[in-house]
Amino acid sequence: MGYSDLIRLGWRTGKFLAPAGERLTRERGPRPDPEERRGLIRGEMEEIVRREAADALGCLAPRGEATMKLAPFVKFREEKFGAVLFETRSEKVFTLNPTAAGVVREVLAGASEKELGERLLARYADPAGKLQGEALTLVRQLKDKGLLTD
Amino acid sequence: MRIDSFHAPLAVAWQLTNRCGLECLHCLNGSGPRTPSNGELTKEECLRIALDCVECAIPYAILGGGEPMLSPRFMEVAETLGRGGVWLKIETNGQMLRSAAAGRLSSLPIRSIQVSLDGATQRTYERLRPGASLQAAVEACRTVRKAGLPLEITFVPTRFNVGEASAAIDLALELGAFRFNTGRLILRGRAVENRRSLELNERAEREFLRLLTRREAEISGRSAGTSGRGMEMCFRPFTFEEQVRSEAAEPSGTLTILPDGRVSASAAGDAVCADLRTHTVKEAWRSYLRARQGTWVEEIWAGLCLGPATRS
Repeated sequence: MGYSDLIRLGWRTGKFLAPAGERLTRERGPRPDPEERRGLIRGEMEEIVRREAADALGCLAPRGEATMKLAPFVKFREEKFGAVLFETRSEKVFTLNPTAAGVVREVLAGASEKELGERLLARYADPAGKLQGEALTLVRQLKDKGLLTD
Repeated sequence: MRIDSFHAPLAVAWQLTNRCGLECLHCLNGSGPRTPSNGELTKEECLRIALDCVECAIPYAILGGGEPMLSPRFMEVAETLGRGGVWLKIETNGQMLRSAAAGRLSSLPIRSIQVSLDGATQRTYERLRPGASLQAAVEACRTVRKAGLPLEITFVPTRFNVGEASAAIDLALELGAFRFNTGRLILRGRAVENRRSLELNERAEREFLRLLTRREAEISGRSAGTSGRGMEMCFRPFTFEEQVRSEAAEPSGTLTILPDGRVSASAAGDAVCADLRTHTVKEAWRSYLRARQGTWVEEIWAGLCLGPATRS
């Protein structure tokens, strides 16, 4: 298992340890520059921190122009089946399947609409090639319902 | 939506205390200055439950009572929940809400502060809420808005005050409320004792509904409140029976926590399914779901809908 695989695994499991019996091996292809690798790992870690820090107060924090955030009074909660978005003003609940939950997670981690597809493709298989388009449709729907804002 | 697929409640409605500085004629819980507070949760128990709610990622908590701000644990509970990312609604009579408290609350994720304004004149307001000051309640609303917090107004229609409903709506607009909540008087607690002097007759109720519909149409589109979308008139479902039936058909996943830590599976507080003195929030949630699968909660709801204290 290479470092990139380890990081991807860590993203999914929250554990940045190679599974029992697996050894870290050199990446295939040209060996990346140590500085570049450090930057990559740092970037991934910062993204995790941003994702973990996304909470109810997060929507009040100023962010970059291109990023989206949960609308005020909206709360996101992970569930076994995916996630829920709870709009506390209207007390309405919206359930999300695992992929839709992944889209919202990426949005909370700071992904812009442009970056969203790329980030999702790094995590989900997309045999039909529809992931990016469907993710953007979902984002538009969430914006229409007042659950996400720019 | 199937609430049994959620790992924890979506909301808690927490009655922090039974005590209240007022003895309102229509109080659902029969709260008042003489209501005993023995047996209520201690500070340590309250904070443990609040932390448990945070750990369960409960998105939303409604803090009420009695008068929640009379509870010595109010601010610490609110801060524990709020700092844990739980959106808060505070239901208060506004008699003791000052700028210091509003300032502390403004650092938290406050969904709304709901103040009861059951009249537009001191005489009417005090008749329903003996000893209470309308000016104090109005000042509390202004304090809430000055602190940048969202304001909701609640109005309970009775024979005393229904004539001031329109003026109360105007007052709510002037105060910058984003929502005006009302509905038929709920005949529970002290309202049952005072039913004869409080309850609207059918004609008065029809007129009240016409007024609400007219004011709703008039207000829609006006710019007020925090959202800039005009004040929302919230009066549907109008009766408690309709609210209960709607909750039974589509449960909200809200645990009602009573002041002594018992948990009710019904908003009316009659169907106790757990005790947070001995259970965790997740255990209480599982008990709630089990209670929902049985018939006893429905029987209690049916009793509430058709019981002698309510109009059929």
